Amino acid sequence: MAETYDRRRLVGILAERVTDVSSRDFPGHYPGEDHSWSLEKFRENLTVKIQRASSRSIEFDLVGVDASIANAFRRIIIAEVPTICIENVYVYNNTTVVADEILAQRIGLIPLNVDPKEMDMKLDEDSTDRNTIVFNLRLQCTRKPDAPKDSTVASELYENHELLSGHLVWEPAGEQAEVFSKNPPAPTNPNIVLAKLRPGQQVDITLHAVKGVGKDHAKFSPVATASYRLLPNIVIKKPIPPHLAEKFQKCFSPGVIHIDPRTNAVSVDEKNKRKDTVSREVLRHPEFEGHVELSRVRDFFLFNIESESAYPPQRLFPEAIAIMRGKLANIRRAAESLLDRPSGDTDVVMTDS
Amino acid sequence: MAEPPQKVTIMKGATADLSAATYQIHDESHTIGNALRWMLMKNPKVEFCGYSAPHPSENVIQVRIQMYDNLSSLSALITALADLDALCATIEDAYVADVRKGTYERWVERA
Repeated sequence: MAETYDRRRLVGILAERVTDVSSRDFPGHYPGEDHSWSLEKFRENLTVKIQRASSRSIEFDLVGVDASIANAFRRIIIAEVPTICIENVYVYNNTTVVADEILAQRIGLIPLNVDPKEMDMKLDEDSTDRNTIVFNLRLQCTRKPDAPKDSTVASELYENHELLSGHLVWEPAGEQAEVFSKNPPAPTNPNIVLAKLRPGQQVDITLHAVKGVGKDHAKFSPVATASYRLLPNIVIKKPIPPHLAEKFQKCFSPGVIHIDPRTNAVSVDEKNKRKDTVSREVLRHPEFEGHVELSRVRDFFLFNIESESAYPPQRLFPEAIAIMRGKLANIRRAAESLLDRPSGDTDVVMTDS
Repeated sequence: MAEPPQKVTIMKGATADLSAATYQIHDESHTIGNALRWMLMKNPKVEFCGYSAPHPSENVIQVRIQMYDNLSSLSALITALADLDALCATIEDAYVADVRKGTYERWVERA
């Protein structure tokens, strides 16, 4: 049996417009109903369900929260979960065709495998073994003496003709050798080409990696994407004529519409309806008018997070929640300090002058 | 170095009993602004709540709160912050519990 949702939870999707976009579950909106905040009710209605995960990405459902909450977590994952990236590039020699500043920019974007938990934020000019990781990048391109005479392939002709992320050499400092002994700092992918070299060209660069956040520079963002969509909801109002079943099915993403092989009866595949892109193709055909209603569930978020950093994808969401709670605690402390501000004559600043 | 700006300040024009006030929160954005606005609006004693990020070059948001019955908007703000924290904790528990249950599909994604 198809799952039905309360009409109030649905965002209507019509041919040329969407309806009921904003949530209205506030006290005073519906007369005689209590919509004030209740943690018990929230806990009852909340569902978090991991759907699928790989070593690099995770998909999960977050059901029963407002868009402002889901969006806060998405924004924090992108912009405020810290990672380690190369921030300072000291070029001693670079005779490649790639200009220093271009090379420095490319080096900054290399994702590193360092767990941000192991490092501190660098707050001032002082570099220590707790807030800075040093790498060296030295490479010289030479001719291969035994190269085949008629070859035009760079890898046959030259030694070190590509500067790769794998050429980064970590220089342990202080207690780092011990702290990172299990997982030495290195790029997550050793095959990123940074520059191409020819015989006689070389680089000699020192790099300092620090902890930072995505709102400072996108290279610090721990994710390739962190996004959500709302669960599509498809309701068939009138039976689809059997001869139009296939046409109806083709209006949706593959797997969303099920056709009974015997009777040609059309139904929505409840498990696969999340795959629909809600292209609204079905609303373009006059023969389906009044047969189907499209909508999305306003509080049913399908999250997709692709980690591109040292974080396993499962860890990013709790990390974002922890940062959110830290921010809330911070603001709360500041707000509480306003409580015992002197009242009376010092109120001058508060009133209109 | 200049003194670090206060995290939360009450802006000019607030009523003396703080039943209507605008709070300026430093170094925050829509992330906190919209979530906080939503939680404040869930409070039946809040007559009005809205927030804005006045200008991209100013690293602040402003949250306007107006209360019924001359109640204090500052206590409403503090309550909303506490409720949001409880909400976050609930979501975290639910997420961690489901990850631990481990009943999700695992697949191999090539780097």
